Amino acid sequence: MMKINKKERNRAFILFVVFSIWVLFIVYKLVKIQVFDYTKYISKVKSQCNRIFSLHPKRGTIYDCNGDVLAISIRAESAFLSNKDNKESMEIFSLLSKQVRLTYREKKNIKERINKGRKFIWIKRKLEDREYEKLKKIKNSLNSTSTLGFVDEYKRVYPQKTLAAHVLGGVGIDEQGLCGIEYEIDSLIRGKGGKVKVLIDARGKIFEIEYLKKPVAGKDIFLTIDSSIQFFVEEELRRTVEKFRAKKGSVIIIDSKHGSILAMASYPFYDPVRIKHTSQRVLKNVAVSFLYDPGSTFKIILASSALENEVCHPKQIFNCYNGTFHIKNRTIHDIHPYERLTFEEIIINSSNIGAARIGLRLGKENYYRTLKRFGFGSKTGINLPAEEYGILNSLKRWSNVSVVFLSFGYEIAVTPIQMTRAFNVIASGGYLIKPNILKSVDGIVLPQVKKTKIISSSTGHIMTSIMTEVVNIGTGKQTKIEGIDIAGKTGTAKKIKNGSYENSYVSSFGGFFPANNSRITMFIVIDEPKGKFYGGEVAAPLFKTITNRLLIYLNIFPELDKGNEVRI
Amino acid sequence: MKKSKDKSLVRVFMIVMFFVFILLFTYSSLNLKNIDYGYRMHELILREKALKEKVDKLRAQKASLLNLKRVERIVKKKLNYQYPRPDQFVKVFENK
Amino acid sequence: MVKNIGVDKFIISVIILLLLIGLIMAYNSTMLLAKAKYDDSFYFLKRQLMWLCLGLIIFLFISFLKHPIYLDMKFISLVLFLSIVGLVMVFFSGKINNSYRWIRFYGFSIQPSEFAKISIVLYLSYIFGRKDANVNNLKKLFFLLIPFFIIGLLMLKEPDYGNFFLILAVTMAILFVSGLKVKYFIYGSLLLVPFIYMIVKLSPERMSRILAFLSPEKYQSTLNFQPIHSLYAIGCGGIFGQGLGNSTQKLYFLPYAYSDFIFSIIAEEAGLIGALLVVSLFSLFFVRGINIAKLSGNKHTYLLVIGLTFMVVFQAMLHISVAIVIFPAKGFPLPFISIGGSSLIATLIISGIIVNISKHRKMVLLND
Repeated sequence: MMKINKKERNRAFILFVVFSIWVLFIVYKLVKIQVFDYTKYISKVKSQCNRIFSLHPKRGTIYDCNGDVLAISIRAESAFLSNKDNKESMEIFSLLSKQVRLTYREKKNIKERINKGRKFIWIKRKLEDREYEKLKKIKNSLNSTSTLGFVDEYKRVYPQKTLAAHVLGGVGIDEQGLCGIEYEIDSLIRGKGGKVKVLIDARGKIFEIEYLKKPVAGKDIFLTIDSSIQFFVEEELRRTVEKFRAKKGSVIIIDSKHGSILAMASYPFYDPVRIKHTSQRVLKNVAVSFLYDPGSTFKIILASSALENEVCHPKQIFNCYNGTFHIKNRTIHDIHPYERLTFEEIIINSSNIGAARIGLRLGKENYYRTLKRFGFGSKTGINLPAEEYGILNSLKRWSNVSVVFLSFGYEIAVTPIQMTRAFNVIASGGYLIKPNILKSVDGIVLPQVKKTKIISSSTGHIMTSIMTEVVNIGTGKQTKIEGIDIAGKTGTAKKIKNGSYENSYVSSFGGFFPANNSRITMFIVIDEPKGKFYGGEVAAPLFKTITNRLLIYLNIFPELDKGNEVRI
Repeated sequence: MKKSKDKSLVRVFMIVMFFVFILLFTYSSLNLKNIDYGYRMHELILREKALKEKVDKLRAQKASLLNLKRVERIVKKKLNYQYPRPDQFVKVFENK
Repeated sequence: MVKNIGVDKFIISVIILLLLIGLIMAYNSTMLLAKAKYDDSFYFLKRQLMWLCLGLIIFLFISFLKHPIYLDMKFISLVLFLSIVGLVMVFFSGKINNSYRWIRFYGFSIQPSEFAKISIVLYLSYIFGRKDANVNNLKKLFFLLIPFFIIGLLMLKEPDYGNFFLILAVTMAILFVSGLKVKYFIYGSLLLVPFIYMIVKLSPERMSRILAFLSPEKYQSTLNFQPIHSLYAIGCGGIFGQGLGNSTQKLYFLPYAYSDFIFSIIAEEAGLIGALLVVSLFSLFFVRGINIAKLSGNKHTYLLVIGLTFMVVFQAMLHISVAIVIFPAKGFPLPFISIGGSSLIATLIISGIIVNISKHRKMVLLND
């Protein structure tokens, strides 16, 4: 065996020394990297793995009172170009533009942006499902997949299209409420965005989630609207408005006892999805923001006031001056001249002169007090935006004939919703009830609004029987339905344009049924009907058709107990 | 004498090593599971979100299929139904 | 007086510690991958354990050998022959990752070059450990090195530049220790320069890796993918580490984290402490190896143990150097620790031989 000589031992030692230097260098490097450059690497790894996303809340769903969906947000992708090379982007866009529905102008805009070298260009927000599928295929076939990108968003869908559009309103491109209930309770329904910190691996998969701010989902809203009622009300309203070539019209139906709005239709209609392309005039909700002189429908307030203040009794006779009545330097006419009428007959036949006489007897202070109590000149407080106050001059500004004109509904501007509420005072036996449109928010049923008794039950009774007669034998005959008592009042008001009354009219009809135990209060306004214009001829027939359908739908047969055959 | 002492030292060393090993192994497997659950949790969150979105889409679809205008059109055009005339609608109730 | 030292328990402890670290890391670095790929968190660990058991049986067998068969010329010739056959068979076994490195059978694959490395050391220590050996006779040396050339060329052909580099280094180390004149090394290196240049230049991938090594930040997202993430891993480990199992770079940022970059993961999870532990274990292995070599008292075993120890530790240091980016290369498995059956078994064979020689120290001394 050969021994190990010294040289070989030395060589091994040299090898060991070289090795040691290497190891020391490694240790030095490790200390440098792990101790001195630690913070640098930590921050690099953080920027590599940490991502902060903001979370968009889903907008709450809007249901009608039966739980049918009126507005819902669904997921929709938005496509964008992240433009690095104008030429390439242009090529990709020409590929895309065939698959996506874009107007000529939108296409032009996008092309301009590409040419300007913008880095981020929206192609289309909120794609249709089919468009998204096609674009995804294109993206996968592209070489540089980062050029075409998608962003998750939500899209507001109104499955019933134009139904109750004015109530619902609509949202903008970023899901912000623009009008209607969507605007009014935007903060409730929108929810709150959140922020989340995630750790991602190299594949982009998330393995740790930390909510910096929890998102709050938008609340689901139930409206008091019944979409079936809303539907046939809108149908009938459209038919009437088109028949009389009117400018606009509105029908409001509320539950007499609770003031819940069952239907609120405003013509012309619009599609909430196309809100951007709809004119301001059409977007206006006639029911809450149309200001007009109420005309004869207002006589029920006068009559209530007179009875409440006990200035006359129902059978009291008033001189009606055969159709022409001079007061100060003004003249008032009746359509049909009457010599003398009882208090009841004045309302039944809608005599302006009679009303003026009642008004004069009532006195302006008493009348003004009643008007304030009925809430004229102030908002009803319904949860809808753009509600008008109406115009009720303060007592100081009343001229000495104001009380006369106010008696039959001029010198005052009201909204249909105010009139509905006023009619409902009589329907409910004397209560002023705030009309409400929200049934529940996020499953919590909203508390009942407090009602205020503003006229006595006996006044209510008398008014109801007078109004029933209006329908049975008076101006509202066209509303009469066999087997059910309907109380109502017609109204026809000349419109003021440029300060003077002219030959355009607002026809209205307000009423409720069953008269002695009212369930439904309805108010109809038709603005500027052509041909016929009397409330009894324009609005009253509409009231009847809608009532017919309501009776069937709501199963209202008050005469049941009497065992009568009911024909409707 | 020395040899037996040596042997017991080796035994102690082995046992200590074994427990340290088990400890470290358990510790790291807990950390790994933590990451794994993170992955799975996120996967489930995504799935939940996708399902919810699908439900919403289907609900929207259902609602638009039940669109009253559409239903009425189908009833009138396809099924040839008509509104009852006033005289067709009679309800008769018994006297009690 | 001759003292019976017996088997070196110290080096056995080092080996056991390294194997245990290996087991923990095998699980740590592959659990999530295995879960995602095979839906079995233990997929890689089970395979590694199986290889470990096999390796330990071989280790025990070799370390208990009464007759050191690995010193026998006939046996060495057989091993050499088998290595060459294995390296040739590789070419009939299909490409993986653009190279022929594996022989596959029954769902397992072995890497002949891992075993060829051992056979080279066995062979060289035998020929230079002989009485009549004269390293400095260049003509004779050339002929003696023919098996090395054959194996080297086969490795280059695969191509497996990493292992070629290793056998080149270990051959040079053995030549150095057995007394080759320093001037020959200088001549040799001058000869090697154009050769290495050619290897680098021929492959654009290799070229770009060198470029990326020279300016890491510039190629961050493209070429220099691995080195940068390796640095991230080590850097964010700090002194105490992120905690075992908590590495983020193994989450697909660092490809082959479980083999070529396992050290980076150790440094990330166990910090400077863990990294230094591994470095010192390998250093101890080296020190102990040289010690055993010296005490074996016989030039053949001296060269053999130094060669084998050198090979293991050199590979480990290369692995670490790649991880901390002081050496441009794709990566070597870290002996004892990285996932990989062939590497583990080869390392355990080497350990077995070293332990066996340490056991025979007494016998060798008596023969003296």
